[in-house]
Amino acid sequence: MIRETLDESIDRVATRLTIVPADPEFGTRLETRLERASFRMTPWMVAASMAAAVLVVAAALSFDRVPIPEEGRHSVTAAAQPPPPMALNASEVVQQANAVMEVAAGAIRQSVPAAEPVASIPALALPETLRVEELTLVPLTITPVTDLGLLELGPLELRDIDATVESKEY
Amino acid sequence: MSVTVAELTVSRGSTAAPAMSDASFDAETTQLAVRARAGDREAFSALISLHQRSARRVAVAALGNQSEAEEAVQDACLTAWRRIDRLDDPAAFRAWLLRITWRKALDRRRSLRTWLRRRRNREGDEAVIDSTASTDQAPDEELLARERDRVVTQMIRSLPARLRDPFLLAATGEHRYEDIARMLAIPIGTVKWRMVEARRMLREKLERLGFNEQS
Repeated sequence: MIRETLDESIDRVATRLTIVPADPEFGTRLETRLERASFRMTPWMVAASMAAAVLVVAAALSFDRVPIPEEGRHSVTAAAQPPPPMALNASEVVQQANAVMEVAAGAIRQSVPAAEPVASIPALALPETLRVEELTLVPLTITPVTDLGLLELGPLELRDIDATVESKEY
Repeated sequence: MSVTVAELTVSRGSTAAPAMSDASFDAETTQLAVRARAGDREAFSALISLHQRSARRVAVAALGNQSEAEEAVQDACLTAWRRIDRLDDPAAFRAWLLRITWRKALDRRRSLRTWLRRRRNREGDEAVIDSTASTDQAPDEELLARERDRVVTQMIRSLPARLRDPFLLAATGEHRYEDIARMLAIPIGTVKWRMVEARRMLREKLERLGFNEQS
């Protein structure tokens, strides 16, 4: 008798645990989802879209590229080779520098008369010409830094801070 | 989700289907499945309306939660629509749909998010079960029956999944042992043994709690 009661109780509860309420709207909701699913992009559609996007970007990049003149084009092997060393002629550089300096000095001299009313600078003496006597080009050499020592810090003094707080009485 | 007693309808066997004989019900299923397989969506919707309650009961057996079960069945129906061209035997549509539903429900059960939500909703569902207790009994008996049902509910839910699943699938009254065995991918003998074992464990626990004395 007891066993029957327990079994009945178990069966009743098990059945109730799987009961579902009537849901007349289920079909409508499913129909909506089916509609949406029919427009869902499949993996091959995604792949095709990405491929199309890549093609468009590639076309745009090739369209914007400035055409290189024939004489400016180098072969890949030529571009990979280091450029030939520049032939430096110190005397030519000095002459060019002096010419530039003379032009600059002339411009300064022309601008000075306009500044003459300022009497407070009478002793402004400009050289006739600015000349660069000699220009020596020295190749730069960079020594690899292999040893970085620790930074030495001087003694760090911590000053006492007067942190006395006045107590407030309430 | 609140469910009143009036809304609850217990279906056993083929009562989930409209009032028609099993033969005509199966014939209509087959006919609709053939049309759906050819791409007729209206036929597919009609098929789902015939079998959605069975599918929802399967999902509830796996998930123990109405809203999660609804989601699982919707997912299953979408999958069924996408793959219906692979259905070899249109007459087997119902079993095929229920197998998909079961797998979708298991997927949801395995996800942590669903597990957490189910735990939150559990108290609400228990309140529903309490509210469905019979009121034909005397107050003391009714109180005792309600308490016993509450304990049984907790015990069924705390059963190991390998025992609980066949036990609840059988409790739906929707499936034969062969169907359950196919759904769980285990032999029929194992299904029967697990059901007996589940019942034995529940009975022992209840007796240990003293419900035999109170009964």
